[in-house]
Amino acid sequence: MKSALLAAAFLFFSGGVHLFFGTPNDLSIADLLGNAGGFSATLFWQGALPRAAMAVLVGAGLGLAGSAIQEITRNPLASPVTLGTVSGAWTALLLATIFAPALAANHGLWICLFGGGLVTALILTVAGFARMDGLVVVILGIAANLFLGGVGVVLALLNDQTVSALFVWGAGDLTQTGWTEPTWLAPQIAVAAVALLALSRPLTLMRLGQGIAEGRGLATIPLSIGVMALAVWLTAASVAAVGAIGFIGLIAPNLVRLLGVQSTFMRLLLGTIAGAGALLLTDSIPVALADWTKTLIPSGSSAALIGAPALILIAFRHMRADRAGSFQLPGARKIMSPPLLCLILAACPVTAVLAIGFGGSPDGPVWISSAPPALRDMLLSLRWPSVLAAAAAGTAMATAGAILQRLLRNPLASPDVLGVTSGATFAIVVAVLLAGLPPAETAVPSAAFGALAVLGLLALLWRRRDTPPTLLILTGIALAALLDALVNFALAKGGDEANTLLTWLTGATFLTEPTDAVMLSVCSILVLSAALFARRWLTLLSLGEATAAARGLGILRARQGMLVLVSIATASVIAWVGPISFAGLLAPHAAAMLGARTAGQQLIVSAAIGCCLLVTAELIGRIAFYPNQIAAGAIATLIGGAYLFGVLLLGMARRKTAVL
Amino acid sequence: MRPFRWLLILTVILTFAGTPEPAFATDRLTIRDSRGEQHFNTVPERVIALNWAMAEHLIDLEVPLIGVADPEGYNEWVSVPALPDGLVDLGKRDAPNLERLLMLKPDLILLADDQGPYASRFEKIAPVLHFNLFREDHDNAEKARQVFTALGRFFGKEALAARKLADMDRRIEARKTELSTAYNGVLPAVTLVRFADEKRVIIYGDNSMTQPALLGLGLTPGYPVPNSRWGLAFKPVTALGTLKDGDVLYIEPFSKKDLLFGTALWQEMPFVKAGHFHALPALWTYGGALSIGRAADTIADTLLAATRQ
Repeated sequence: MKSALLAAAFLFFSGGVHLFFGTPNDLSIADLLGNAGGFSATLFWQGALPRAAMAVLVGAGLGLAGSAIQEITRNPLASPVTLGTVSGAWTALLLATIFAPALAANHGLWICLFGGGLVTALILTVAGFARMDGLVVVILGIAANLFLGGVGVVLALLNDQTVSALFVWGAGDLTQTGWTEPTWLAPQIAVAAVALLALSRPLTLMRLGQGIAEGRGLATIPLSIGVMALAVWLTAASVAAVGAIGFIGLIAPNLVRLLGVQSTFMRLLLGTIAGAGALLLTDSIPVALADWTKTLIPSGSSAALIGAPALILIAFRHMRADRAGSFQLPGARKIMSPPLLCLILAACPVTAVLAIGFGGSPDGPVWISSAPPALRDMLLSLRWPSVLAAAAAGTAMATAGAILQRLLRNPLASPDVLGVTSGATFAIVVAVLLAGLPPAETAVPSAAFGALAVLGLLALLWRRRDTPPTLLILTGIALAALLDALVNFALAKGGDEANTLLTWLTGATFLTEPTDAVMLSVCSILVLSAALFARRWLTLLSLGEATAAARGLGILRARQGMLVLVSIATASVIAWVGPISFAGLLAPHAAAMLGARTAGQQLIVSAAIGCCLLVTAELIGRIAFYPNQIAAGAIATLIGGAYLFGVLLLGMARRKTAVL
Repeated sequence: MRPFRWLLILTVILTFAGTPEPAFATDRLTIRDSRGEQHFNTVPERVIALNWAMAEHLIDLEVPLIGVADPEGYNEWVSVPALPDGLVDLGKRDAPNLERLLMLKPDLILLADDQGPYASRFEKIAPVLHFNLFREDHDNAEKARQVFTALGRFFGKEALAARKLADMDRRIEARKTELSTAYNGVLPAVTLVRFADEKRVIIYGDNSMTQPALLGLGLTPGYPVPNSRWGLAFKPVTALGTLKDGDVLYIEPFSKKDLLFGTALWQEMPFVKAGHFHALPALWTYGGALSIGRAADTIADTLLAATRQ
C-alpha cells in the first residue's frame, strides 16, 4: 500500500511539474476555471494538457510493456528498447513513409506492429526461451538496433531533405495540437492494460519456474507469446503516435523493483504508473526549455539522457556474474585447412584490385580500361585512397573485435557493442555540434579523447579481477544509447551541419585524403602486429582469469594493454573514416566459424575478413546508386547485420544452438 | 634612435601590407575565397557547382554550368532560378562523386560551407573555389552579395552583377512603396515559417536570407529569433501562439496541412482567427544574393493579395 501511495505521489508530482512548465505564463488558475484567458486558455486546453495526457498514456503504455516483458523474461534489462521492438517498429514506419507514404499515413499502427513484432520475435527466438534472463538476448537486441539504425541512416542519406523531418519525429516528440492522438491512443492502452493485468495470476505462477507452472496446468508458451504480443502492441501504438521513445520501458520496471513489491499485479500496475510519471518528468525538460532554446529538444532524447545512466546503475546493482552467461555462435568448423587460409588471405588483394578497377557509370559498373587513357591514372589516384582507407578500417575494427571477443570471452563483444566506438563518436559530435569546433581539425584528437575516456572507464570498472565482463558490455550499451540521444538531437536541429554529420557518422571513405588513408593503414598494421606479438596473452585471457593467473600472467596489465590496442584501433578508424559498425563483431566470429581457433590464426583471418568486407562495401557503395554514393560503413552494417541474423537463424534451423 | 624608428615604421607598413582583406582583388583573374587569393590564367568555362546557392549565383550571372550536385533535389527545393537542361548529376551535396566529376573535365569547381574540408581532394581534379556563405559571425545576406559581386567580376560580368543587385534593390524599394500604400503606411509585423511537419515549425529570424527581404519591404519581424548560422529556430507549432499580432506566412509545400489547420488549437491562433495567415509559394531560404529579391517579391505578392481580399 505504501508503495502504491509512493507511485501515485510520483505521478502527481511529475504531472504538476509538467503542467507548471507547460502552462502559458500569463494564465492564472482563475482564468482557467472561469473559462476566461482567451488564447492562452486555448493553448492550455489544446496544447499543454493534451501533451501531458500523451506523456501519461505513452509512459504508462511503455512502462507496462517493459514490466510485462520483465515478468516473462525475468531479466531486469529486457524492455521494448533492448529487445529491438522500438527500432523494428520505427524502421518499418520509416520504410513505409518513403516507399508507400499513403499506407504509412493511414495504417501506421499496423506497420509498427508488424516491424516491432517481427524484430522482437526474431530476437527472442534466436536467443532461445531458456536464456531470456541473461545478457544474450539484450546484446542481440542491441545488435538489431545497430543494424536497423544503419538502415535508417542509408534511407536518410538517399532522401536527405524529405526524411530529416521524420528524424525529428523519430527522436520522439510529444508536442500536441489537440486531443486527436490522446483519444486515439487511450483505448489501445486501456485494452492492452486490462488484458495484461488480468494475466497477472498466471504470470505469478510463471515466476515459480516453467516446470512448476506447467505442472499446475499452465500453458507457459502460449502465455509468454500472448504477453509479448500485448507488450509489442503497446509499444507499436506509442511509436506510431509519437515516435521512438523507448527508455521509459526500461526505467519504469526497475524503479518499481527498488520498491520491492511482491505481487505481480501490483508490480505491473506500479510499473504503469511509474512509466507515466517518468515520462512526464523527463518531458518537462523540453517543455520547460521550449522558450529558451533555438531548437526543439526531442522528448525521447531527454528520456534517454536520464535513462542511460540509470541503466548502468541498475546493471551494477542487479546483474550477477553467474546470470550473464556466455554465448556461442553456432556452426563452427573444427580446424582451418591451409588451402582455406590461403584462399581467405588471397581474397584481400583480389577484392582490392576489383575495388580499384571497377567504377560506376550511368550504364552500370565499368572496368578501368573503358575510361579514356588520359584519365586512367587520375581515376586510379582518386580511388586508391578510398579503397586503402576501407581496407585499413576493416582490418583495424576486425582486430579490435578479435581482441575484445577473446578478452571478454563473449563472441558478441566488439568495439561498438562495448561503447568504445560510441565514446569516440560522442566526443566528436560534442566537439562539432555543441562546442562548434571545425570537424576537420578536431576529429582526430576528439576521437582519441573519447576512446580513451571509455577505455579509462572500462579499466576503472575492471580494476577488480572478478568483475564480470558482461558489466562492461552493459556500460557500452548505455553509452551507445546516450550517443543515439545526442545524434537524434543533432539531426532534429536541421541545417546542413546535421547532414554532414550524418555522412560522417556512417563511415564514409569516398573523400578520404591519401595521407589519412596511409596513416590509418600504418595504425591498423601496427595494432595487428602488436596483437599478434601478444597473442599468448590473448590465448591465456580467453581461458579465464584463474587459468591465466595460474600460468603467471599479470591479468590487469595484460587487460589494460589489450584495451589500449583496442582504443588505438577504434579511435584511428573513427577519426579518419567514421564509426564502422559490425566489422568488429562479424569478422572475428566468421574467422572462428571457419576454424581459426588459435589466437594468432583468428587475428589474421579476421583481419583479412574485415578488410574484404569493408573493401567490398566500399565498391558497392560507390557503384550501386551511381552517381550517388553510400558510405562503406553503412553498407558494411547492412551486410554485417544480414550475416549475423542469417547465421543465427541458420543455426536455429539446424538445431545446433544447444550450447545456448 | 632614428634608424630604429624607420625600422619600426617599415615593419608597420610591411605588416599591414601583408594582411589587407579586400573582398576581391583588383586583378580580374584573381578572386579571394575562404582560403585566400586564387589566381587563374583564363576565365573558367567548364564550371561545376556542388552547392545549390553557388549554382544559383552562376545561373543568375548567366554563366553556363556543366554539372551540379543533386539536380533533382534542386528542382524540388530551390526551383527558382530554374536549372538549365542537360546538367550532369554529381551525386548528393555531402557526398559528391569525384569520379564523375573527373570525367566531365571541369576547369572550376565551386564549393561552399561544410564542403570546405574536401577542397584539397577536389583540387586534384580542377581548381576549386570555396566560400563560407553561412556563418554565425557574419551577415549572411551581405556575404552573399559580396560573393555574387566577386564572382561577377571573376567571370567578366561585373556590370551584370552590379546591375542585377541594383535592380533587386530598386525592386524591393518599389514593392515597399506598393505595400505601404496598400497598408496605408502602417505595415504589419511578419513572421516567416516553414512547417517541418504538422507539429513542428522552422521560424526564420536574424541572419536568415529572408530577414533582409522583410526589412527591405519595411516590415518588422514578428517572432524574435536571435542570430545564428542559418538564422532559424526550430519549435513546436504551439510556440507561434505567443505571437500577439501581425501576419504569419508559411512556405509551401506543406503536405500535412489538414492535420494541423483543422485542429481547434490552430483555429484559435490569434493570427489565424484574424485572417493573417497566408501561404507563400516554394522558396529556398538558404540561397544566393538574388534569392533575397525573390523572397521579397513573393512576400509582397502574398501580402498584397491578402489586403485586396
